[in-house]
Amino acid sequence: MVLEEEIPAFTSWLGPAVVSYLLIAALVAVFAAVLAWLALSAASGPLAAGDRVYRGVLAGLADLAGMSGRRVWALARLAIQESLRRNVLVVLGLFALIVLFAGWFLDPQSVNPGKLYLGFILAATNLLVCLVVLVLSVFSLPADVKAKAIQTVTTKPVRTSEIVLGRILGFAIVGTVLLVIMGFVGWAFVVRSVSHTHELEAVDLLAERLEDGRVVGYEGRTSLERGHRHRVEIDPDGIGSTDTTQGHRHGVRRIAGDGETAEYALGQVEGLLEARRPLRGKLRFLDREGRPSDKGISVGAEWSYRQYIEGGSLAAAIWTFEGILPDAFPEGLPLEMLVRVFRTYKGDIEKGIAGSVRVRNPTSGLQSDPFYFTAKEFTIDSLLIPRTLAATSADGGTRQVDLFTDIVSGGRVEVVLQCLEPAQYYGVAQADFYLRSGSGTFVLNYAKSCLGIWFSVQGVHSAAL
Amino acid sequence: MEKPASTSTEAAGEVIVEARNLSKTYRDFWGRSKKVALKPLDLEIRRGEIFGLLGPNGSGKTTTMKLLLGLIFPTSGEAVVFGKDATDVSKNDRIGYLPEESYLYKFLDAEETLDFYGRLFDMPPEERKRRADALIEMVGLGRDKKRQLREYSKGMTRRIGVAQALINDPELVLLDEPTSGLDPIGTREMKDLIIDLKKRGKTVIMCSHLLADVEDVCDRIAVLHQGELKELGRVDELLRVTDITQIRSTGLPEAAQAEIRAVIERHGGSDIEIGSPTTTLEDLFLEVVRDTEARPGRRAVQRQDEPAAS
Ligand SMILES: Nc1ncnc2c1ncn2[C@@H]1O[C@H](COP(=O)(O)OP(=O)(O)O)[C@@H](O)[C@H]1O
Ligand SMILES: [Mg+2]
Repeated sequence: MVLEEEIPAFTSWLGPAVVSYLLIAALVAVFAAVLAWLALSAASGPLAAGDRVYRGVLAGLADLAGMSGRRVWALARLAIQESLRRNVLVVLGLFALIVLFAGWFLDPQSVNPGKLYLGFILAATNLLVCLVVLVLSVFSLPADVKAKAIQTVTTKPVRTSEIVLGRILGFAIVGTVLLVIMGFVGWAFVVRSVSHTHELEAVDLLAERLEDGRVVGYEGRTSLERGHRHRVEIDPDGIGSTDTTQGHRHGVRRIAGDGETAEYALGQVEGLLEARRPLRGKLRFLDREGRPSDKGISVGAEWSYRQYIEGGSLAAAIWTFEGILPDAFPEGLPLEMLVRVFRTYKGDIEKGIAGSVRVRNPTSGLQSDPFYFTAKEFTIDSLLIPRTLAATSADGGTRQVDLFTDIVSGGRVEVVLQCLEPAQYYGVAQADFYLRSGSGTFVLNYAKSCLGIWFSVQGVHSAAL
Repeated sequence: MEKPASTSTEAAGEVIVEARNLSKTYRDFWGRSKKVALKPLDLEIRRGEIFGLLGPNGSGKTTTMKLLLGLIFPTSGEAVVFGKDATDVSKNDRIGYLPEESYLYKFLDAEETLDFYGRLFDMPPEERKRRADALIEMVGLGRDKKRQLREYSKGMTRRIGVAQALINDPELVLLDEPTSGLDPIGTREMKDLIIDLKKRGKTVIMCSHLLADVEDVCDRIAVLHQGELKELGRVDELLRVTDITQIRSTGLPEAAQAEIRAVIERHGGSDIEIGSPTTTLEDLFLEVVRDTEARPGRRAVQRQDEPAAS
C-alpha cells in the first residue's frame, strides 16, 4: 500500500504559514480593540469610547514605529535568562528519558521502524517544546506583573509593545534552541536505532541466465536482521541493491571472489524517511479485449478497491497524470509502482510476474516502446522513464522521441501497465502508481518537520500571549 | 530671624515636577471606589532640591510617587514632569525610581540587573559596563555582584535598587522609603548619597515615615496624613523652635554653670536646663562600628564612669 504521509514542499507552506501568522495577529488586535470599545462604551457611551479606542490604536501604532532594537533585545535576553534560571533545561532531561523509553519499547521489527521512531520523537519534541513555551509565556508575564518587577521596567523609557515583543522573541528563541537540540538528539537517536546491515552469502544467490548460459544477474535474499530480509538483485559485475523493506534499502557490492565463492557486502540503511512526494494520476482500465471498462476483473478474495488485469491479453491499467512540466522532471519521470500479483497457478513464487509499462500521448496516441519489469509482491519498483524514448510506429520503424515534446501533451501523459504472463493477474489501485517529484534527503525532510513544529510552537505561544 | 540665603536661589529654580489638584481613588474590579488614597494635592518641586514626603503608613506617599511617575492614572487633576504629562514615556529617560519594595528580577545578579536596565536606556555596551561597575562600587555590593538577587538580604536588595535607579544618571530621582531595611551604616550612607546627588545638581523626591531621615536630608517636606496634605515647607523653618535659646560650650567648670544660670534668671529666662547632652543612639552605634573596624577585637567604647580595670 502506498499511503505515505506527504510532507509538503517548503515554499508551499512557509508563505501561507507566515501569512496566517500575521492574519491571526491582526485578528487578535482587532478583537482586542472591539473588546476595549465595548468595555469603554459601558462606562462612557459608544462615541466617547470610540474616540478613546481610536486614540489608543494611534498611540499603539506610534509605539510600534518608535521601537528600539536594543531594548527589545534586552527584554528578549531577560526572557531567555529567566527561562534558563527557571531550569527550563529540565525538559531536555525529560526528552532524554522519552528517547530512552522509545528505544526500550518501540518495536524495531515493525513495518517501518524509522518512521515509527521518528514519528514518536517528533511528537515528543512537539509536545515538549509547545508545553515549555506555553508554560513560559502563560506564567511569565503575569508572574512579572504580580511580582511587580514590571513596575520597575515601566519606569524606564520602555514601550508596552517592546515588552510584549521582547518576550515573544525571547521565548521564541528558547523554543527554537530547545527544538534544535531535541531535533539533533532525536535525529541521532533514530539514525542509530535503525542502523543495521545484513549478510549475503553467495550460495543464497540464484544466477539468472540467458538460454546460451550467460549470466545476466543474480537474485536472492539477505540474512534475517531485525525481523526482516531484503530481496537482492545484483548485476553480473556484482553491483546491486536490495528492495525497500521496512522503509529502507541497502546497497550491495561484491568485495571478493566470483560466482559460488563470491563475497558480498551490504551497505548501511539507505532511503530512510525519504519523503515520497507522490504526484498521483487517475486510473482507468481496458478489459481483455482492449475495450474501456470501469472495472478490471474483480478477483473475489482480494481487496475490492484494488482491481485486476489479466495477463497475456489486451487488458491494461492506464493512469493519466496531469501537470507534468519539464522543469519539475529534468531527469525524466520517476515512476514508482506497487503491483500486486495474483497467481492462478503457482509457478516459481520467487520469480515474479513479467509486465510492461509504456508512456502514451493522451491526444495523439503516440506511445513509447514498453519497459519490461517483473512484479514482486510487497515491493515498490522504481522505474525512471527517460526523456528520450524509443517509439515503434505502425510500419515497424523505430525512432527516437522526446518525452516532453512528443509524449506529454498539455502537461498530460498516460502510463499504460500490462501483465505479460497469460493466466496471471496484476492487481492495482489508483494510488499504486505515482511519480516521485523530488524526494529530499532524510536530513532535509527531518529539518522540515522540525520547522513545522517550530511554526506550531510559535502559533501556540503567540496565542498564549 | 532672616531666611537662609539658599531659599531664594531655590525658589528661583525651574519647576520640574508639578501636581495640580492631583487625587487618586482606588477602585475595585467593578469600578466601585474602594479607598481614597490621595485627596486633591497641589505641589511644586524645583530643580536641585531634595523634597521629602513624610507621613505614617498608608498616608498616600507611594500613591503620590506612582502618580508622578505615571505608573497609575490620577482620578482627577494632573501630574506634570519636565513639562510633560506624567504618563508620557519619553520623560523616563531623565528619571530614576527606587520602588518601595525592590521590584527587580530575582534571577539576575547585580551586574546583570544593571546591564539590563542600562539596555533599556539604549546605552552602548562600554557605557553600561562603566556605569554598572561604578554604581556597584558606590552602593558597596562589589563582593556580591555575581550573586543572584534572590539570595540578597533586604538591605542589599535596597542597595541594588538604588544603583538601578541611578543607571541612567537621571536628573530627577524618586526614592520610595530609601532607608527601609538598611542598617544604621547603610542609612547613613544612603543619606550621604542623597545629599551627594543634590550636590551634583540632581533633584530628589523621597518619601519616608522615618522622621530622622527626612529631617537630615530634605530641604522641603510635605506631610501627608490619610491622603491629605497637612504641612508643606522648608524643614529648618518647620522645625525651628523660636522661643528657645540654646548655648553650648566645652570645658566649663561647675562654678561657671551656676553663674550662667544666675545671669539667665536675672534676664527673666525660665525653664533653664544645664547638663551634659546625651548623644543619639545613631551616633553611638556609628562610633562603635568605626572603632571596631579601626581596632578589631576590643570592646569599643568605654563608658566614662566605668573603672578601666574591670
Ligand atoms: N492598589 C491599591 N488598591 C487599593 N488600595 C490601595 C492600593 N494601593 C494603595 N492603596 C491604599 O491607599 C492608601 C495609601 O497607600 P500608599 O500610598 O501605599 O501609602 P504609603 O506609601 O504612604 O504607606 C492605603 O490605605 C492603601 O491601602
Ligand atoms: Mg508606601
